[in-house]
Amino acid sequence: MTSEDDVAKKIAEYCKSFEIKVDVKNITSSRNIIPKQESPISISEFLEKGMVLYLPPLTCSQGHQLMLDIELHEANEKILAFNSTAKILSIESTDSDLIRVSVKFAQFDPFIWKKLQRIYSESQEKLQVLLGSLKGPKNG
Amino acid sequence: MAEVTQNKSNQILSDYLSSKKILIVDPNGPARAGMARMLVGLGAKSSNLTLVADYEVAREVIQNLKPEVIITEYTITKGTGLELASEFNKIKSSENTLFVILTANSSQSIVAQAAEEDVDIYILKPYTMNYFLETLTKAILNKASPSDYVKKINKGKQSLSKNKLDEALDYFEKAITFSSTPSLAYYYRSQVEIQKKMYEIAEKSLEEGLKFNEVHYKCLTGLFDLLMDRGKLQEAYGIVKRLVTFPLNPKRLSKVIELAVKTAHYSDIDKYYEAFKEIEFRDEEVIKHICAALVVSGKMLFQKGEMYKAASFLKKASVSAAGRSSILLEIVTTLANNQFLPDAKEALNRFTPESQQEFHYQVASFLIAYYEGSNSWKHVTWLRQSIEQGNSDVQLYYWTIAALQASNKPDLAEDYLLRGIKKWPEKKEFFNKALKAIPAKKAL
Repeated sequence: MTSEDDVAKKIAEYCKSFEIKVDVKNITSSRNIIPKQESPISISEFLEKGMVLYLPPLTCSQGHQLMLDIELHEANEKILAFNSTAKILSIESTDSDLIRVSVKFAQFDPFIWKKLQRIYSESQEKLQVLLGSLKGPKNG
Repeated sequence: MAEVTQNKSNQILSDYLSSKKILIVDPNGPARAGMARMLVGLGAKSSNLTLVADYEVAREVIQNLKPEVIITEYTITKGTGLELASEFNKIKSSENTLFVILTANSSQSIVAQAAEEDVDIYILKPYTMNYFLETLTKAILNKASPSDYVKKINKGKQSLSKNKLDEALDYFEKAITFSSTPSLAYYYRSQVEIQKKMYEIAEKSLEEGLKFNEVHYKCLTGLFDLLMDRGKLQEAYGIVKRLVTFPLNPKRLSKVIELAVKTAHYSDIDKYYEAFKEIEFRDEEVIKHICAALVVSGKMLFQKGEMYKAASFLKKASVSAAGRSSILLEIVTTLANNQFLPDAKEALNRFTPESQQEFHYQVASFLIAYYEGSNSWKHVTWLRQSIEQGNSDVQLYYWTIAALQASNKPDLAEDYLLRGIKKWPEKKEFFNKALKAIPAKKAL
């Protein structure tokens, strides 16, 4: 294998593109939370045992219980599924047509939760290394 | 011991942030406020923070306030975080600055653009606050205590930006002696040599840098650009094989595509089309380049007798050229003239409903009807009417002459030919070619 092949292989590995699909149901109000097509539900931050999500407004309130179904896809293939119930800790309105919701998990599989975080942190590391090598290695 | 090291790191982080003007750009208020709270907790001064939601305001802040640290979302109102990086590069006066981009996107072309815009940290969302802090700390520590090699390069870069070329050269020469693999120092040395118009020597510097690392991105792009600028196209294409192992930003991909056509590497266009498809945000320039390259290569492959490969190139071009009437007409013409009628009809469907009122669509429809043996005359009538109504377009005249000639109306074709030449005497040769633009059906 030539060094060009090595680099190409590494880059493909480093730029693995994930897609997170999130389905949310408000258990308290017994309603599925359905986003508008132009403003999909997204996860912005992973907390230790929870996360920060962007949801459509007027779909939930502080203290409500949510059911989260999260699927991680890589190249259109599901590689991980994480399900959890979660309690809403805080809601903040935003400048867009979504609200910022912080939740704490109640029932969840800590092993899968750690795995999801690990996949992301490994991907983060690799992207940072790729960025560094494109800019010019610090010592080379 | 670990605690002492941690405390020292925290102190460096705090000292760095407390002395910097910081700009936070995020369309979401709570996200902006959360980031600001965290930075203040790490040592930043509230009075040094500026929080904005959109690109235009951020650009003004960069120009007027000259922040030293920018933390931005990739997707911001009226622009992108990468465009801000470009603005930031225009004003930053030292290497002790920091540009952080937060995004849910890990596409290769965006990472490549981030590298070209000198982004320091690329954070993929969702992230944990711990990861964010670790990465931020690592980057700041690297900035705070660079190696002697990096110090020399940074000083050289400063001198280079002030156009003190001899001083810069001196720093880069010294940097070379501080590393066992000094490719980056060679790259910057070549940049000074280019400024001094010492092109041959600059080329040698870049080749020297590549001896230490044959896929050093900056040396490869530097050599590629230099060879292109000097018109050494075959040599430039020689290093494309190594260059395309890296993700290419749209601008560089456009250059590579253009070069592949100029150096007659038509079969390679397929590979670049795949790279083109990977680009998330395609600008008009790269779309035009890929379409033109696919069309030209398709025509050349038809000439070489590689019919099916040629047709596949044109089909791909028609997908990317959707709604671009003049390119679609060229695609339909080439496919129809080479008897690929079903593919030509598919390309015809790529015209938008609005563009069906343009002569390009009428000519394309004429060609298909003509080769199919259905009613093609209605399209000729449309073309003639368009001219009589005052539509004065060289291409319209050309295709009207061609359509009349193909429809066995040589007198009418001659009439429009003379009218065209009268309007545009310099186009006489061009209009004469129209008489043979559409091969006779029996010849097919």
